[in-house]
Amino acid sequence: MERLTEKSKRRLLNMSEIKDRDIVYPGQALGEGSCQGPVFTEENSRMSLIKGLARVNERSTNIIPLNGAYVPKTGDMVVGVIEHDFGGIYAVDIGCPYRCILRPQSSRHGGKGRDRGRYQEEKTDWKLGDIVSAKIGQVDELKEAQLTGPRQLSQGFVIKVKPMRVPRIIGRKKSMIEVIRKYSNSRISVGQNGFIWLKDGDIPLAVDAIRMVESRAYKSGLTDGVTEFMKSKSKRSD
Amino acid sequence: MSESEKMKLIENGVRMDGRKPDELRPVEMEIGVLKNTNGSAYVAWGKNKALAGVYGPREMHPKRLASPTEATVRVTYNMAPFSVDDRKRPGPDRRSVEISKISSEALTAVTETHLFPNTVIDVFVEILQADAGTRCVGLTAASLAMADAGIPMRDLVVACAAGKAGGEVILDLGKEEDNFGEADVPLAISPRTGKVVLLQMDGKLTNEEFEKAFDLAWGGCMDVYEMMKKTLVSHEVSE
Repeated sequence: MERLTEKSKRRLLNMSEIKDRDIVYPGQALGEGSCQGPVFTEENSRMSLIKGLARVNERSTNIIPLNGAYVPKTGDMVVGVIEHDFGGIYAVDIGCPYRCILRPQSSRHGGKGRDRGRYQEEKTDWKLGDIVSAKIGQVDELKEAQLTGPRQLSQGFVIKVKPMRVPRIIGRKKSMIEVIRKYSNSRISVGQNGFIWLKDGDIPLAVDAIRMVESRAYKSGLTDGVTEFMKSKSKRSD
Repeated sequence: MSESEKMKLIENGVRMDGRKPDELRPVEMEIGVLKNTNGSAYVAWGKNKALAGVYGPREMHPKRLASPTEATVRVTYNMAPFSVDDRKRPGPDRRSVEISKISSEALTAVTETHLFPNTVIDVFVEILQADAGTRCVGLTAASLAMADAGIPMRDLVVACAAGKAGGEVILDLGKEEDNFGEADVPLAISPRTGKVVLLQMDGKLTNEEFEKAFDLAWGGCMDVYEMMKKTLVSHEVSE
């Protein structure tokens, strides 16, 4: 598709002065065109609710948050740490402002996709501090989440990153995380909530690469930059 | 104060520190200065130095203070013991509780609190060095830190004071002007909508003087707002 000139983009967005990859601030006018992300409308004009990165294409402006709290959403894969035991029902710390509950064997009601047939072998005796990877099942009106299909991530450790930068850490079609896995030789599990579990391999290198992606998430051509960085630091020859 | 003393604060339209009546002190801002917070900001405004850090939205403790319909913006304003000439006794006092409350109300006015029911957005403002107008500096830093933390807000909050010293209405009072002047009017606004989110007055002004002080403070707020926008936009680019 032909790239639009700055002038025609602006005309399409009707007066918007926002350019692609601009940083926007709360309350900044984005024009009257279609906008996605955390925006609000006032007097027919769209405005940003947050500080974020604007991605402008021929149809709309998309505001990508650069920071913010994780709010649980059904279907998200998260990594968490067991923090309370209420007698067989567990509270899991997934770094969100709301309580997240794990009821072992709850997957027998679901049993779809990655949970299929899992309930029979599901772990029920969790200990405080255990690291768990699970899917967000139900989220109620108080935004309290239920976890389904829990899987223990034994040993290893967890680092926390900004949840809004997780899509960049995973990359398009997992390209970024695959690069990090390949050169660090680590086992890595990335939760949508910003908790990342790492085990084996060159963990300091993997952490450095993840931090690099986190701090430069708004830049383009980052996968190549990370590949170069990992190549120069890694012991692997390829 | 005698007429001759009043003259010392402003003489031939020039203030003690060499500023004009409608001139701000130099302002510097920076965001993302604290690693362990969700968002942070540092503002140096004249000799004032304020640091703000934001945590949250996070679970509210004590639970009884949580609102089931919205997030609570909880501001804790504190002056460091070394922020003033004489050591300031550490801990909350009447003044800091008052400033915490008004700052919290000013920030709540622009925050989309309904998106995070039952939670708290904790804002900590530390005044490292005080030289009059710390509530305005603290509130400006808090607003920047909240924007840095990715808290959904309909606008930024920007604050600036005006007042009367040496018999003249002036913008952004310095320490001597505040201590020996006749009045102080701190103002905080939501610049996009033009709403006033904080307005206080200490001292006496006539209606005309108040109108003039209000206009001066408004102009000062708009100047600071431009700096805030530049700080927010340039931060990620220069990182």
